[in-house]
Amino acid sequence: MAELTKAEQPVSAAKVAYRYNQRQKYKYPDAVTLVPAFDLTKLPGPNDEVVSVALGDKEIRRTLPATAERPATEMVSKVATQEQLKYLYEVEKHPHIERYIP
Amino acid sequence: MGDCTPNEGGIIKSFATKLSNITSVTITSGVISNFTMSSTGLWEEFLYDLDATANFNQVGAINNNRFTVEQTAFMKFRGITEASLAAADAAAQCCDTVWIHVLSSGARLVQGIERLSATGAPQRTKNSNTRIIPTANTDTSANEARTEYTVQGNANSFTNTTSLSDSAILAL
Repeated sequence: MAELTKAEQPVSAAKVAYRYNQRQKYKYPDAVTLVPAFDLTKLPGPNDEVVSVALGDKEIRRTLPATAERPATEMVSKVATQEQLKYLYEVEKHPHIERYIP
Repeated sequence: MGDCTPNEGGIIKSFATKLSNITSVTITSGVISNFTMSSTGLWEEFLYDLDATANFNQVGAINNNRFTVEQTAFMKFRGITEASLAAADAAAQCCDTVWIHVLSSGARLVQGIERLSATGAPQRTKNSNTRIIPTANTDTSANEARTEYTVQGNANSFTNTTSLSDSAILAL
């Protein structure tokens, strides 16, 4: 019996990974979005803390200018982890995140 | 019995970006719960005079069964300087802008995109672009010199709201 091709093989939860869509990455290599800071199993509520993550390959840093209400602050968007990408794909149904078999 | 809880009007601050900076909008139960931006630091915070003049008005109209919504925000900044005039000139050049207006109640309205019911790319206000129309008015000596921004567009629908906090918007 012929072996199944990679596309035909059943998806094993242990094998799948998540990534930023390649076309989007080409267009917007520095894209950022928000993910929950703690619980990646559900959408954040209005009072839940969120963090900014970079969808591309590199961490992004910038300085948020000072205002009367706050000092200048360094903002860091770290590269999204597999767990965070999984959240975006599975929970948020983000259109630019895809699941693939590495 | 009626509800006598006060419901303050007015907007107290706004955040703005170009529409082209937003690559995707996430909708959760009809509310915007996330933006994906083409890069970081693209939302500008606008802190205008808190003198009971800033407001955001959505006026529905119907013409031969065609419904549209004129969306107009107004904000005022005291003084006229070289910097304010340069900023006004730059602001007037931008064709499609997106604004998050923060109401006194804490609610947040998103001006500049058509109402979304599902996650995806945002669409500009269909009937006319959402643009900034700046005015620099010295007024008379009995009054104050000021720079005023009117943000105006025409959409097929009322705005979405967003659940994002100030810190979440600034983190993007």
